[in-house]
Amino acid sequence: MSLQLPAPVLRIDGLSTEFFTPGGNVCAVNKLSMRLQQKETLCLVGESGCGKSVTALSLMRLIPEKQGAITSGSIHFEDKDLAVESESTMRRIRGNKISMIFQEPMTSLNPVITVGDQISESLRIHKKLSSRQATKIATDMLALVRIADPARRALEYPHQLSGGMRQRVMIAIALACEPSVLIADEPTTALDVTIQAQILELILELKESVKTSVLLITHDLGVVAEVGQRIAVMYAGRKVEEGPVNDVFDQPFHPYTQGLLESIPRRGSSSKVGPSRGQLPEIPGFVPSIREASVGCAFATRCKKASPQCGVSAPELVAQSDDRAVACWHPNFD
Amino acid sequence: MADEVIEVNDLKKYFPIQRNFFTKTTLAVHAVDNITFSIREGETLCLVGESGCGKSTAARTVLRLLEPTSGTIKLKGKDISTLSQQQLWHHRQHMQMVFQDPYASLNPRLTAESIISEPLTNYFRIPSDRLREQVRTLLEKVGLRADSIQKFPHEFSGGQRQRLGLARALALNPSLIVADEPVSALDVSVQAQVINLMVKLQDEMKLAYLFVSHDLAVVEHIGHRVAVMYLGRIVELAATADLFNSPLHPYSQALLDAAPEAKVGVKRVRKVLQGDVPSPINRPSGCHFHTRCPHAMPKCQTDSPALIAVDDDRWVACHLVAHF
Repeated sequence: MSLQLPAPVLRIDGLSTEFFTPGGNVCAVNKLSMRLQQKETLCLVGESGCGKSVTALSLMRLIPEKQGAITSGSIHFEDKDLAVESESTMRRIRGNKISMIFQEPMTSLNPVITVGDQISESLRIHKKLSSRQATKIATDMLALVRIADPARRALEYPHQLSGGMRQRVMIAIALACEPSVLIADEPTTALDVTIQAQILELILELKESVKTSVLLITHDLGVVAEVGQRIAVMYAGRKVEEGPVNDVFDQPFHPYTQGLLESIPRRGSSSKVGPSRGQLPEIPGFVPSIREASVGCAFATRCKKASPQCGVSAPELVAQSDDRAVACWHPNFD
Repeated sequence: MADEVIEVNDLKKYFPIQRNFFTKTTLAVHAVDNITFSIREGETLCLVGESGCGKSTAARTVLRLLEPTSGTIKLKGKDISTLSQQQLWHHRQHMQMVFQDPYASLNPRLTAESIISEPLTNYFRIPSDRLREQVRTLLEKVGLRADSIQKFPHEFSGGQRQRLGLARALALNPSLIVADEPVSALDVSVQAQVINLMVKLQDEMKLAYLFVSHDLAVVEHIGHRVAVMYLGRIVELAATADLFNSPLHPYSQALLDAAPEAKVGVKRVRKVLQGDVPSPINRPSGCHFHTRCPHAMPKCQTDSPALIAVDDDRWVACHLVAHF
């Protein structure tokens, strides 16, 4: 089931993350394997609760110890296995070699520290720069993310900035140490569309200049179509489909991917006579709770192709070609 | 036109925020500034715009959940903008609201039955067996099982809760439903279910929808007409197909251009709009959009363009368009 590609920057094998709840362990990420190639943008897509954010937190080893843990699998980065590395090694990697942008820029910035200091912090810690050097680079970073008047802005606090500017500051913090992997967890969901367009463009541009690989987590298939190179679709903790964005959008193999793509209203649907208002193809039912351990395929109850086999055993992810894989008993190859 | 369910004229809603003690001047958020629109029976008018443009405030002010600063709101020909709360009570049954967050807008301690029957018992005295029958009919109408009548909101999924919210709104057989981002809190795979349901109910019951959304693909799918708002003003009001095929206002163009499309193969060259939305407290002079507009002229900084009709049922507020 492995995909034959040149050495990836980040290789995840059979990663499972569980949370400890009074009702027993809940498996939020289930045997996930994934590769992030150099300088590519991989989009991790799925609905709320499918485990995409937990995957990101697991990679950074940010799952709170008392609440959950990585129970199996490995995360290969450089020559280390991040799943078992010590906390002190992780601290040297976070924000330095792998960094992360969160969804809500206001809650992830420190409200009582100036944005300049927040950017220079990682430079001082990881690159051992003097505070003067760090401040200078912080100002350059602000200019790089296109904040006007960076020297003055560096001395301001997050509440003095707009939402779009805060997200730019987050990006500046994340890219200050020129990481090899950037994890962006719904970076534009909290932003307006015109600002979203600016931020996405910025991430793509900086990706080229800093030479970093991007793992973009989103639920918005529009964003995927615009910026992604490869897409991995998750459902109920498992990866159900993976492939180049163009191919997956053209011909989704998994019925869930197909359903998702069909169910979103399309632009350009209105004609001269008015809006189409036609029936959108629905995926019946709702997203299952991961608390209910399912036997068989988690999508079976909502799937129009479901057969008795689907209710009994869960399909493995099977490679269909060099770069495509799907986990389904009845993939759509028409 | 006779079949207009709601007519809003020059509606304003300002929120005063700070008063200078010496000069007695008041700073205010101009959330809704002189908006005019109407919605016919069986028609969907969509309000679109970015956060802070006043679309939600406009929706709430139309229902008089917020008191308008000035302007008139005619519900079926009757001006409700100045009625007392008591007089308004009689008219409220004709206009209902569906909220964005189906988790926050349903009382967690009430059963589905109490949630849906509350509006009914508020206005009518109905014997309990008939009431229960009505609740069951309503549940079935929105695609829920009639036997889920004793369930609490937490026993429903997000999409089902939004159906419950719709059933509550439909209970009094209203003419107007104001829906504030009704599908944006839902998972992508269940959004289509709720959109289909809303279209079906509208066709069956001849409902008028005021549909507030930031999702342009949803708007294009469901809306008959669209009003684009920017900083409290309507900058363009047009039939959906006209707006999406040939937006006239530079802001509408930028908004349509910025929205990502779930379509591959066609890599568009985007004109990304620079800068942020200015503060609604301290708005730019003249045309509010001139600070970000690629076509701004000197005139735009001083004169505020009026919303003028360029065609039947098509209105634009822009100096460029006025030149035609």
